Formats: sequence, C-alpha cells, structure tokens
Amino acid sequence: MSTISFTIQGDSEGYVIFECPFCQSEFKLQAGEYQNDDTPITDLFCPYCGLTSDKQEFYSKEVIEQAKALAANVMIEELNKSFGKMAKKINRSGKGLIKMTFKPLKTLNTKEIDTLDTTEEIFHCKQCDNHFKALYCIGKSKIFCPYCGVDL
Amino acid sequence: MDFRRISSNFLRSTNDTASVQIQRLKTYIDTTPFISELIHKEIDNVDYDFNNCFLSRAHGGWGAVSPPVDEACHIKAMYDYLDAIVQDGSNVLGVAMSYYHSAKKFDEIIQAFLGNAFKPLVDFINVGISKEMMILEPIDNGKITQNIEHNYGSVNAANRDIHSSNITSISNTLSNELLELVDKLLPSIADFEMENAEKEDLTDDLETIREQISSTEPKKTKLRKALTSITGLIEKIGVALAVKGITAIDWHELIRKLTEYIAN
Repeated sequence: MSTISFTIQGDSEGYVIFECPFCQSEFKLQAGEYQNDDTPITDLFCPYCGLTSDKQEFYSKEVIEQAKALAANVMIEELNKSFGKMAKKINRSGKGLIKMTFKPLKTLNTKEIDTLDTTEEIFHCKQCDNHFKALYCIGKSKIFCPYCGVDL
Repeated sequence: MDFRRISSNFLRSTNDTASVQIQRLKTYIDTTPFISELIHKEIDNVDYDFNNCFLSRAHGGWGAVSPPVDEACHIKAMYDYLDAIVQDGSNVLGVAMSYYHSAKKFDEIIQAFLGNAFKPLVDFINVGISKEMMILEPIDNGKITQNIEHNYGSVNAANRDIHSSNITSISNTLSNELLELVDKLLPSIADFEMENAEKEDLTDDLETIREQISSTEPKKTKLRKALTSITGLIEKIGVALAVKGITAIDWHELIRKLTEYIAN
C-alpha cells in the first residue's frame, strides 16, 4: 500500500485551518504545536461548541477533498498502467486477430492548499501553553481550548 | 467539560457503543442537578407529544424529524424521546434505520440520526452551562495596568484602581540592541547561498524591524509577521548562516530579542 502525503500551507503566522465536525465552524491551529512529537494529540475540542472528537475528524472539507483527489489519481495511474500493459500484450500477441484499445482516464486536478490570513484572534491557553485562532464575541460566548478543552 | 465529553461520545456513537452512550447521556443529564434543573425549568409546563416531532412512517414508510417552532416544545420532545428510547431498551441502530438515511455504514447512519434528533438538545445544555459559567466568573473591577514606554510627562489616568509601571529603560535598551543587530546582519544577506527572492524577503523583514522599532508607535503585528518570516527562512538555511563573521548565533539572538520585544 502506498502512502500519499501533501502539505497544507499555513497563513503568515503558521496557522492551519480546521473544521468542527459538529458545528462546521472553522478555527486555526499553530502547525508546529499541532505536529509536536513531544506532546502528540489524539483528540481535539471545537473552540466554539466545545465538543470533542478524534483529530482526523477536524480536517477541513478542502483537505479531505484533496486527499480523496490524490488517492483517486494514484488509482487512476495504476489503472492506466495496467490497461496500457494489457493492451500492448494483447496487441503484440493477437497477430492482428484481436486488438485492444483503451482511453486512459484523466487524473483529477489538484492544487496546493493555502490558508489565508483572516480576522481571527490568537488565543493562548495557560493550561496547556498552546495557541489557536478563533473569532471571539466578547461577553457573548465562551471559547474553549482545542487541545485541552478548558474554557478560556 | 464532562458533559461536553459525554455528549461528544454520544454524537459519535458507533453500532457497538450506541446503547451504552445513550444511557450514559440520559443518566448524566438526570443526575447532574444544574442540567436537570435547566431542562425541567424549560419543559415542565409544556404539554407536547414527542411523536409530533419524531414522526414514524411519515414519508413512504420512513420516519422523519419535524421540529416544532416553539423551542420549549422541541426540548421537551427531544428529552421525552431520549427517555423513551432508554426506557424501552430500543436498539439505537434499529431506531436510526427507520429514519431516511443516505449513509451506507451502520455507524454513519447512527451518527446522522443522533445528530438530527438530539444535537439541538446538546447545544441547549451547552449554551446553558456556558451562560452560567459567564455569570459566575468574577467581574472585572476596572483595574488598569498601564505600561508606559516613553514617558515625556506626568501620568494621569481615571479615578479608579491604577497600577502603573514604567518600562522605558528596559524597552530602550532592547530597541537599541535590536537596531544594532539589524545593522550588523543586513550586509551579510548578500553573501547567503539562497535565491534572490528569498534574500529580498529577508532584507525586507529586517528593514521592517528597523522601521518599526525606530517609530514612536511600533506595530507589533508587522513585527510578528517579520519574526515569523525570518524564523522560517533561518530554519531553512541552517548552517549556511555563517558568513563574514556573522554566525547563526547572531540570527538566533535577533529572534530571541525580537520575541522579547513583542512580548513586552
């Protein structure tokens, strides 16, 4: 099984966008902190609704579409390779009696994912010393740390 | 946080865990005084049959969720339906399958059903808890912490608690050290083995730092952006930083001092 990897460009401050699977709100996490090998994370909390799930559930729709497109392209390339070899073999050994042609599948367009600079505010959680970006209505809603779930 | 975790586990139930999770949620709601009071305060005087909200065999034999306009009726319907499922010991997958679904996997069918049927109840409770927390948080008494970087006269603020600290001397020393470092590092960029565009970026960042630190009101957003950009480029270049007497230590010193300056 082959592994597909791709990079997600962060914004100018190194924050990458994530999306809550419960309320579909977007927030950003600092790339270095998210990928920190010393303190690996398994779950994330939504800073808006406070609910928690596996960190893979928080990938944005764009990231998931990109992953699916890349996986589809791998499959398409393998299929094109296999059918190409099959066509050559049949046409070579068919002696003109049997001929095979096939139209290669087109790969899907993919582009690098960029995170734009937006108007979210940077928050720092004193409990776990991590940072994240979210929109904050002061006095109107609570905000939660995506790493430890504590309310700020 | 306990409620958020229990409700998250409930909304993300699988075929194996759904029966347990729904009971845990119901038990937690009933045994937590604050949540129980919050719900009963909303629904006790409401007369509404949950079967009017959770319709069975509505469309061609499929069940449907038809929430009422009145929120109190909706909360009551969800609470009563939750209670009915738990009391009957119904299989959650069986209940979920009776509602129209497009998912192919059992887990996804269950999660879609729980989200449609009970997420508003979870949101209602979460909002209630958040509001209570905000009410219970200590009120800011209006203490003002005033950091004065350049004091050219007397300090005069409003007639409330004032705590003033003058950090002019620390800030001036740091500014001067930063300016000296920038002047030292700028000429060395031309000799780096990197692309011209990257050299220009690095030069721009150092000039931004010099400009902002020299100004009367430095913009920390610009300094932060320059810091992030320099840090990224420096990590990329690595050992190739040693040029004409300038070493990596000088660059790291710049990063450290700039971080301190921004934090002050």
